[in-house]
Amino acid sequence: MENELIYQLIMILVGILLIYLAIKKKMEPALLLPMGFGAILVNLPGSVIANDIGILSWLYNFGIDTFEVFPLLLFIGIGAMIDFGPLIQKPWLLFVGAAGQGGIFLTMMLASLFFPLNDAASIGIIGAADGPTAILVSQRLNSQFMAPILIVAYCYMALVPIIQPAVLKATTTKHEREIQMTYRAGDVSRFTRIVFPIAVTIICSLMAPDSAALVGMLMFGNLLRECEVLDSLSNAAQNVLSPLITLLLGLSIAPMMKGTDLLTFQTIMIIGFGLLAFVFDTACGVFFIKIANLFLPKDSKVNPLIGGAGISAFPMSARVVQKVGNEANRQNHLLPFAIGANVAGQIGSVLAGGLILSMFG
Amino acid sequence: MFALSNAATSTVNAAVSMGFRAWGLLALSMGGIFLVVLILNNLGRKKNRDKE
Repeated sequence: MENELIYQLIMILVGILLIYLAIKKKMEPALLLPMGFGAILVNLPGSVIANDIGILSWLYNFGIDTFEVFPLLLFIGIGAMIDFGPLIQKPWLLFVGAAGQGGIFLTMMLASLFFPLNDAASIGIIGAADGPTAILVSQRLNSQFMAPILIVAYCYMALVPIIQPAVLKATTTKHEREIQMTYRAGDVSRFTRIVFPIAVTIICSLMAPDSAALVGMLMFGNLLRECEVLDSLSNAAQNVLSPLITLLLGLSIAPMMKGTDLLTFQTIMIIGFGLLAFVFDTACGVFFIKIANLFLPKDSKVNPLIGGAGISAFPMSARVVQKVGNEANRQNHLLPFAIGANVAGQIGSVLAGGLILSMFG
Repeated sequence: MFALSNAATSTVNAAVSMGFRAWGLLALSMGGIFLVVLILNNLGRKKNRDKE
């Protein structure tokens, strides 16, 4: 009983910390603020708000557990925000997006040393750098660590500007970071922009049927944006639906944030594996380009920093790459390539989640 | 020394095989999308030329 009280007190402090990070440091405020407030609510001594009849429980059951409504709806908003133009112009960046998911699989392998396979896969998916995918995969795989996985995933996503520069600098030489690339902006036809989300949905659903819902919602959101006949709906998906669902998602996670469930040694391990996943993601993308550079002619080498943007943290990761590249060479303008790699990472992470689900049957 | 029990070894083996298989399939799917984008880009360019 006394222990429970201490756990509750710690979780209330964690809640206050999350609110502080959201307001003062502006770290994922739409999610961390409701999560922090929810953590305080469910850990108040004698709180009934997360009981079976409580609103938070209802939100969790409806939005995540039974119908998986929140993560899927959130994807419509994310899809409507993404411009796939830079990727369509440089389609080779798709392979950077595939390489950048290495962190998911490598972390899953390492985590399987300490966790059952379903939990290891759910921990690995932190490397997707994609909140909705992390929720959906850990929920479908019945992972008992869904709450810490989600908190860790969002915290590391907010910490991308701190984690990635260190990894990028550690995995590249100054000479490599200085490689200059010229970008010739081309036009992407409306026809291509409209067919792209439909084609991606069909291909991904054929390769991994379990990714159909994830990819489908993401690409549907993008189709809303690109069709140019539903601008008001596209704007609503971007500016209303997405923040609203994120807020509800944060609140609905709260019932899982009870001190007795969360303050365990496994949570500390998940924090470690989460960091590892982000480091591996970045390094895999960088090394993929380094290997490709071995076969490319001298005058068309690719700056390996772009590989670091092959993750789903959009657009933070692309900005980090631009900044690190610019520090090495003032003439460097890597942003268009990095944005392309970043949106490829978005497709890659969703597909990786679907593939993991497919493999579990 | 660090030793894994049989059950743990089979979990790790399953994770390694699943991980590499999923990564391979991911690369393959991205390859499929890559080909489609190449075709779409060519079609787009052709359409633009026809318009001109």
